[in-house]
Amino acid sequence: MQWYAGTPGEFYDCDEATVVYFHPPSGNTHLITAFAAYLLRELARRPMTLEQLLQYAASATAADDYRSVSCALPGLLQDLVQLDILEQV
Amino acid sequence: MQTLGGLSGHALERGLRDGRLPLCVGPYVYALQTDQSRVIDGIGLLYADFPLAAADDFVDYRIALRQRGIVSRLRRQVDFYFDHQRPFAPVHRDTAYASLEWGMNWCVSTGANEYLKLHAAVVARDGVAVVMPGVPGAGKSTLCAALGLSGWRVLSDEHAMIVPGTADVIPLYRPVSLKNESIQAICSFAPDAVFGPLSRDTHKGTVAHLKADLDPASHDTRPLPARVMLFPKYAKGEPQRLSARSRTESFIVAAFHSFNYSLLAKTGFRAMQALLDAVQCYDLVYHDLDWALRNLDGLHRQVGAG
Repeated sequence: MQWYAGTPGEFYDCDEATVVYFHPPSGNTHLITAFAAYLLRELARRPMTLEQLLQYAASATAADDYRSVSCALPGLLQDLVQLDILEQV
Repeated sequence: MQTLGGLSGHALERGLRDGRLPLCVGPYVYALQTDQSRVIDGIGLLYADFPLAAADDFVDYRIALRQRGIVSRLRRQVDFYFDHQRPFAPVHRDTAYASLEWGMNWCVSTGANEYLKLHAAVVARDGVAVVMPGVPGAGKSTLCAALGLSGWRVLSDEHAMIVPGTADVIPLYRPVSLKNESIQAICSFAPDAVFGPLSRDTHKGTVAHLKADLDPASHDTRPLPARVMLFPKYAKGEPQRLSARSRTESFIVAAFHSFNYSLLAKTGFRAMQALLDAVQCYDLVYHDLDWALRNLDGLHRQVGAG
């Protein structure tokens, strides 16, 4: 199973813990974590499996952070699916 | 340019009864018509310094407050008309002045989509604007009134109209609407403050409008750049504080307080982005107006120096 952010949205990112994300198909605006914004940017380029996303997370985060990120990732993906800004393909 | 206050009492009354007084309010022209003497008195007092448009200028908002038929007269009710339509239920004639002001707000809230519009008060000093979004009851109008009575220019008590792609605010001065305890708070703060007709028992309680166009540039329509976005909160039981807040969280709250952010879609997102890029964001929790004003003066000096 893969995840994919079909439409590249728009981001308001000013190096804070949160990022504003505008999703053009729904017209909705979301306040998401910086890590969720990172995932959405990557998943707008191409669909990825959970394993690929974990590899990405490993390269993007420090070892200490990786443990918590890898635990949180499945839940975060589900949250983004529920918000209709990510789809499972 | 002639102002409404330059008219004789007779000319004012006749012009308002006939609906032939085109009034410049920020970038817009309102044509007001009413047969209600309380409303005529209120307009004469609170709009005295507003410029009159030329008789052949385009009218953006044509509104009227008048009685309709015998039943309406017996019930002492007044109807609000916008372009000859009645969008609201009739109101008691004693609250007609508040209905006029709310109706004038409604015209801008539901139209004027050439701008990103936030439900916010806007004040300025030395050409630098402070945008203060807030839900009703947050204390933005009380603060706006106190600032307007203390040397700040009031650009609006209700609408921050932002030119998309910039942080420029279009001035849209109108009298400041105060409710319930805020009326007494401002009377105590400035005993000489000028208020229009009191409207009691409205759905918002007692409402009065304050004349706050005391700055010589109050009716200048040129845009001013916003440099601060301030979220005021009147809270008696909380410690007073002025503290910086996150830009991204401020974006979301400002979008929530916008009349047309969702309608503008991507244009709205980009307009909000341009605004947030240009402003510093703060929370202001207060219960003492003098304390709030001192802190805003300090903030203004700091932003001006930056």
